[in-house]
Amino acid sequence: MSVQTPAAPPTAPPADLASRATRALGRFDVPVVMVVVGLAVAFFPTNLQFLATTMLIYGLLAMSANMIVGWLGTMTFGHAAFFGAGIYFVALMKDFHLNPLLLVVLAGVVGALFAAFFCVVTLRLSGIAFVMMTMVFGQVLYLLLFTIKKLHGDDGIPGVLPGKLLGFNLLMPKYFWWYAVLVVGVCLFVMRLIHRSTFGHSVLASRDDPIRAAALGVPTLSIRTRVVILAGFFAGVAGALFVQQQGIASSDTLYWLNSGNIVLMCLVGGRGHFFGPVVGAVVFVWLNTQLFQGINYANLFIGGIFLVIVLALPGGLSGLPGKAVDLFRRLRSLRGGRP
Amino acid sequence: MNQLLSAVINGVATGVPLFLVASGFTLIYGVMGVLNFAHGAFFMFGAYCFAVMLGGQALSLPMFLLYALGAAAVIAVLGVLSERLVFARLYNSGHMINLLAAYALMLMLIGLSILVFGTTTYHVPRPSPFKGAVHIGTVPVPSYNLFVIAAGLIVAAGLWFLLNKSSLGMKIRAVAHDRTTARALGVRAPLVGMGVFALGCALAGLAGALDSPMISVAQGMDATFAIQFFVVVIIGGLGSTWGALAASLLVGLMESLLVYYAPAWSQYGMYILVVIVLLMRPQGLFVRGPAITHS
Repeated sequence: MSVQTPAAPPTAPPADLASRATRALGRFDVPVVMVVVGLAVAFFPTNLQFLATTMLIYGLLAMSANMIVGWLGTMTFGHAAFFGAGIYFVALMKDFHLNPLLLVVLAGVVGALFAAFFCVVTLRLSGIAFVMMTMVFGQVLYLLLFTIKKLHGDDGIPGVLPGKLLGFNLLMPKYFWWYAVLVVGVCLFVMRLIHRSTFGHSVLASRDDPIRAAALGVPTLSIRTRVVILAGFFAGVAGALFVQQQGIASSDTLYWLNSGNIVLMCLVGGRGHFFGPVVGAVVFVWLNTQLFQGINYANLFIGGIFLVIVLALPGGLSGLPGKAVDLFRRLRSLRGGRP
Repeated sequence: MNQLLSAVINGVATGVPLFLVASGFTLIYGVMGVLNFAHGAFFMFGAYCFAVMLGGQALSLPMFLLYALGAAAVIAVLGVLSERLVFARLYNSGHMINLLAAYALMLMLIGLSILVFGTTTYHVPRPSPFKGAVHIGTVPVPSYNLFVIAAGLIVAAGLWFLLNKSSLGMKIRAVAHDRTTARALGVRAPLVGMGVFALGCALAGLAGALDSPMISVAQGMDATFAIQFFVVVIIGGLGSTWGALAASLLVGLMESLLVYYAPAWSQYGMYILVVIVLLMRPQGLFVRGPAITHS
């Protein structure tokens, strides 16, 4: 018989470095962070700029999934559906040569429409049944790729060009980087505004104590619906950026394992912190495309690393600075002999 | 009529491996509260182990069964290892962390299977007495399918006996019902948890072994199969073994009937089924009371 280890606290301590820094920046945290990151990456070589763009797009995707996982406190294994809706919408529109920004907004609307349809179907469900329906929804859309001839199944839709914006050819990674920074920055800023609004507070209230929130007059069901639709919008935007950058819409972006990876990103980064999912996305993309590139059993290591993170840091990677500070303080107090 | 009969028999035969995996999954959820995402990977490992042990030779029935149980035992060991190393540390951490750990474990197992078994496709021959077809009336039915159905019935009866008639089953039900009280009354809950994990994973491994002659054993089979048994577990109701039995037969039948009568719809069958069930009975067919909510 083994002794059970006591459970670690699920979230990082409130006074960790990262959240203190964002508090100092006030409501300008998203623009400041985006400009600093944007400028830093602008000096990188082209291939790293491409990689950073991919990370940023996955960051937005993980942030949108976090609206369901972190804000609503439920789970989703079908987020790739909304992502894929954006991807395939832009890919189908490739022959019309529309303005890239317009396409991004339209893709977001398409993602939101899919999310709205999903909400109508799952209106009466809660808990695990709701989570399972996210997976069913994602898989049905995935199967549709193979049923509808126009979507080309496993072949995907190649040859999607990002087009030009204000005379800049977005095919150049450096221009695309700034374009992605702009779009993702605006999205994150809007998410931040929503998160801080009264609506955001009622979302968190209905997550933390649904019964009390409902008793206080918070319409929990309509809140869930609105948050899922918003998450669908941002996932659609991420999909549009993704296909504009990669140039091809492929079926595996819609597979349920991709949905699982998105959730993994946002939980590994940490739900407790606003930027946590972006951290998770950066780590995931780096592991997947750089560190273990070309190894066909890479999942062994990626799974192993994430398992260690889950076991050692249940609050996610963004709780790491706080833990480090804690450890440092404990060491110092040990040395000083104070209790 | 002939077509209907063979569709029904094939449907039930597809349902049996589904039942084995889903009952293990739902048992682990019921007792430990872990939605074990890695269960599909355990199924795949079972199939691979079995294929490697057989090495392409057709065996007599006793040897075939012995090898299948051997594969199940290997997977049981793998399951106990993962329970000790991962899930035993996470008992009090809530569903989310458990889910995440199981997902990470699944990724690891997928990678491991590529490393160990490679990306080649294995074909497993049927055991020698069940190579041909049996004629029921004028309908030819693969005799192996009948063998799988019989094996499924035996396992279901064994499970029923274990859970409802044995003292171990009583302990398992006690821990599933209320872990703290069960421990206070002297049930060694960690040991029961380990046993349940071993049993659940052995069932997945056995399912992989029995299913392998009917399919080709290759990478990616875990992900497609996982979706199917998730759907089965949801239709039957989480935590209900008999729900898993009924739902896996339902899903197997639905799929094979659609393959015979409306092939274009065959892939969507189980999704349509799950949507109907969830809208009528969100908690699943065999669970009483309101839908299970998770924290």
